[in-house]
Amino acid sequence: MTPRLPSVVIVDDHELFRAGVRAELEGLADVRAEAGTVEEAALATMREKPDVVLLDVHMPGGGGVEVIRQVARERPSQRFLALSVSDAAEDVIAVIRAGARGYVTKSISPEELADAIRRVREGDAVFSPRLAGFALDAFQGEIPEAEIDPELDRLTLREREVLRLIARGYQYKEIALRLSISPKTVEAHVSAVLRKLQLSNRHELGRWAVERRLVD
Amino acid sequence: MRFDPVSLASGAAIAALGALLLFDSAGTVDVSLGWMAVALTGAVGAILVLSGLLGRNGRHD
Amino acid sequence: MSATAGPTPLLRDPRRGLVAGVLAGLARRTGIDAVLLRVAFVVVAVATGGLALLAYLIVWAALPAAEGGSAPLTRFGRVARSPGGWRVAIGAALLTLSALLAFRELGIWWSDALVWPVVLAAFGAALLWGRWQRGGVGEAEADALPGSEAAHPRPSPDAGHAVSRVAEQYSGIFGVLLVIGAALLFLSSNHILGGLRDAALTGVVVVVAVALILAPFLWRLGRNLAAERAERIRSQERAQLAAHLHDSVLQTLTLMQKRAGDPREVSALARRQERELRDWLAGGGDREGAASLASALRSAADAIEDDHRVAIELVIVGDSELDAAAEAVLGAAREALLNAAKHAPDSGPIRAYAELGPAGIELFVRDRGSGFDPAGVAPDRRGVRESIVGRMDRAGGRAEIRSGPDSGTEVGLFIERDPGSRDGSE
Repeated sequence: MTPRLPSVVIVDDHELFRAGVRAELEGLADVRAEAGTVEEAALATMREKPDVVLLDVHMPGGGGVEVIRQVARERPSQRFLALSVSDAAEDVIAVIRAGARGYVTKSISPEELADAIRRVREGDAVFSPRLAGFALDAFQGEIPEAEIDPELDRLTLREREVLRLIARGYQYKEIALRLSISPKTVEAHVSAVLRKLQLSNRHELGRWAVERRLVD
Repeated sequence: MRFDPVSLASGAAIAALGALLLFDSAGTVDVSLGWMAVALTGAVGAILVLSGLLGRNGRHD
Repeated sequence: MSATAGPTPLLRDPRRGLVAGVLAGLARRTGIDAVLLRVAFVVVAVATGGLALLAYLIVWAALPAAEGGSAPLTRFGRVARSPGGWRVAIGAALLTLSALLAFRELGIWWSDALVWPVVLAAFGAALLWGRWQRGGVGEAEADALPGSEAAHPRPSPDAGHAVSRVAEQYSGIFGVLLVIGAALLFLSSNHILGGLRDAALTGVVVVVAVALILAPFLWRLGRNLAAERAERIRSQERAQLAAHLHDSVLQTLTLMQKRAGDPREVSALARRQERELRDWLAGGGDREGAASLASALRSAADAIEDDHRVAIELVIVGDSELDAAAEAVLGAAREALLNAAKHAPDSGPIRAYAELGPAGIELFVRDRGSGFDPAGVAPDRRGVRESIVGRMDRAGGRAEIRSGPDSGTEVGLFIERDPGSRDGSE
């Protein structure tokens, strides 16, 4: 971990919330800019080039997904961490598939948030227990052999185990201990799952919003 | 047994009608078709109105 | 109705009248002396052979009394439209028919060809007039209309209710048909119709043809209207839910200000309100009935959250029906959650994770409290542990409890179902 604080841009259409996050991250991260609309967010990100963009999902004008799309055109290496009140499956999956590297809910503590920011800066994926649950749910059913891309459309046993432990509230260190692997390996598994979530053509992921009731 | 005015009235009306028919066929009273129609419609109408009004008030609506 | 502004309205005056106050009311309105009116009425009645009496009757029924209250006809209409009131309506119609037939027998009659069409027309006109009167809909009758039925859903055990509603919606058409029927009857029974028949036939054919052409359009129009109305009802319901929710939120915020000194209470209030809001956003007023293990788990967690003022994060994958195995897990899970709520209330949210499926159930409850030594002698904790472990054992599953002073406590519940019921998932 590099000693300097991660630089962050906060994107949320609720000013009160932006102020709150800024205050919480005092001393834990370097907040370079705030943005309340999609356009402002894209401009601020291009200008400040932060390590991580903290991104709300619901915003007028296309939401967090739109911000990611616009920024990705000019700055594809930008990393996003979705931070949102909504934990509806369709919102979470949508923003992950658009390119966010992690998803946490707004009730998270400041320390955990800072930790998540650090991890995303280093290129790791951050899964809240809820996101882990969604991932397990999405990859649950069977699909015909012929259509499976083993790289993308199935979770390995190990990945499932890791996701389960995340859903149960374990930290990466604890997972590493439990499964007798190194924390780096845990992170690798989580990143692999993220990639699958983003790229898999499993129709569950696509039709999620249509069919699914809210999974707690 | 609860006193149900609707059933009582309906029963009385039907009984009266029956009595009329009886007397007619026995020859005691000669009731023309027109009057028979009057009696019939009157009886049925009265029963319906009574059941509609009293039945409604008796029941918890 | 105020007697001060404008001309005196035409009302009955039963107090000053001899019979029902019709003439007395007329006297008030016109300013002519009531006695004069009565004399004139008697003369007219004799001259017209009783027709004036009929007119009196009609006016009596149509006018409200001066003391307030509504005209007898309006009252009758209200009774007739109440659930089950259709009996009164039909009964009254039959009684009227009976009276008419009696007059006929007695010879107080004009002619069949005249009276019956007039009666039909009068009935039809009454229906239409009643419907027109209600067009504004300000009275209590509004509650009987199907539109607001959705807003105040009432159980309608009486089939008569359904009949009333059908009659309600079609009374306009009935009225029109009756009037047309009366006209035709009059014409035909007076032999006027013969010459008109060709013209009528042509007219009918044209009408039928136009109707056939327009039928699909009208059908679609009708369907659209129905759909639109359904949509309107739905959005009305949703607006009501939203209003209720706004109230809830306001109340919660007020309560929170009052209890600001008790952080746990404030936190619990906020959490409960958050849940309610989330449910609404997820697009539904009511959750599915507790027919599945997932919703039963959610309900249990909600209840424990509220009662013990803790936060529970519940993640559920899959679902399962509430069979014996599920019930066992539900009970044990509740115990575990209660345990965590009681012994580790302030150390972060209690995390529960459940994997539900036809093959089996796995459920974990984790808290980050001070933990305990599983072999230790904390009496009530051991009792609870046995109730969890024992319950699972009895149901054919098992429970594992790990606890340590630093890592909190985790309860794992496992149960498998008969492999015969497995349908090969995962």
